[in-house]
Amino acid sequence: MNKKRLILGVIIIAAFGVFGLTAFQHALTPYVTFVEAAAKGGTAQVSGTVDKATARHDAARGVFTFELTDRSGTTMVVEYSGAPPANFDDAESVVAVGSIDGSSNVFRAKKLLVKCPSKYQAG
Amino acid sequence: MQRLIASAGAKLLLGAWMVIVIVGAFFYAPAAVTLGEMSRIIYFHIPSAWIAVLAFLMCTVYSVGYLRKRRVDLDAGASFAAELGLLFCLIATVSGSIFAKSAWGSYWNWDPRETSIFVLLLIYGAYFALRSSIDDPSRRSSLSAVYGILAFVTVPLLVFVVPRIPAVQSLHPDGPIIQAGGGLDMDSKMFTVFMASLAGFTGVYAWAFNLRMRAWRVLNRAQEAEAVDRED
Repeated sequence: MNKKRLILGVIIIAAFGVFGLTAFQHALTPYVTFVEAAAKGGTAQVSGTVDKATARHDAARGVFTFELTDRSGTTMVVEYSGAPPANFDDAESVVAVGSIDGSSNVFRAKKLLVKCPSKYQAG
Repeated sequence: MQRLIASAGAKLLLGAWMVIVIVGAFFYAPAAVTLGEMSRIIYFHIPSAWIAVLAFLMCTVYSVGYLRKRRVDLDAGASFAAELGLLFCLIATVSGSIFAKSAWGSYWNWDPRETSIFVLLLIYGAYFALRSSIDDPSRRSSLSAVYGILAFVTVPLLVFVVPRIPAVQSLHPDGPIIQAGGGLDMDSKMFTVFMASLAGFTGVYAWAFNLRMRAWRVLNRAQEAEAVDRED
C-alpha cells in the first residue's frame, strides 16, 4: 500500500466519522421539551427533572401528578393515571410519554420512565 | 498462542471459570442498592457489549490484514469475528432491553443507547448481506474488507461518544464503574465478579473464534484436495 492511498483512506474514514456523528446526533434522541412536544402534537417523550415536593398520589382517583422541568427550563404538571413507578423516589430524571392536554394545560402521561442513579453498592 | 487456546486444559479451565462466574454473579456478589436483584444482569450485559466491540475490532484487524496480504484465511477470520460480534451485540441488546424494562419501565423506547445499538446491528447485518451478494471470492473478500474497516469507524462513535453527549439525555448510565472523577465506584465483591466475567467472556470469544477457524481450515483443506483430485 503506498503512502498516498493510505492518506486518502484515512481522510475518507475521518470524513465518514464526522458525517456519522453529525447525521445521527439529532435522530438519536427521542426526548423533547414541552415546547417541542406542543409543536409536534401527538405522543411525545419529554424528559426532565422532577420536583419531588410536588408529587401527589391521589389513590381514590388513581391519579399521580408531579411537576416536571424539561431541559429548556419549562415546568409543566404531568398527570399519570396509575400508581407511581416503584423507583420514582430515587429518580435522577424522569421521562413522561404522552401528550399535552391543551384545555387543562397538563401533560397526560401514558407511561413514566425512570432514570435511577446506578449505584453498584451492596444494598 | 492458538495451540494454547485449543488445548483441552484451557478448555476445561474456561468451562470451570465461567461456572464460577455464573455462580458468583448470583450468590457471591450482593444485589445493588436501588436496582436490586436485577443489577446482576450487568455481569452478562456489559461483557457481551465488550465482546461485541472487541470482535468488531478484530474484524477490522483481519480486514486490514487481508487487504495487505490477500490471504483467504484472513478474510475468513474477518467474517468469523464479525459473526461473533453480531451474536454478542444481539445478546447485549436483548439483555439491555430486559434490564431497561426493570430499571426504566420500558423494554424499548428508542433511548439513544437503544437506537445506537440497533444501528450497529444493522451495520454489521449489512456486512453479511454484502458478503452473500458477491459470488466472485476475491472481489467478495476485498469489498467486505473495505466495508469491515469503514463499519468499525462507527463503533466508537455509537458505543462511546453519541450516548454520552449531554443533549441526547440517555436514560442509560454513562459508566457504572468508573466515576466522573476517575475513581472506582463499585462494591469490591461486585467488581471481582465483574472483572472475572469480562475475562471469562473474552476467553469464550477466543475459544469460539478459534474453533470456527479450525473448522474452516479443515473444510478448506478438504475442498482443495477435492479440487486437486478433479484435476488429475
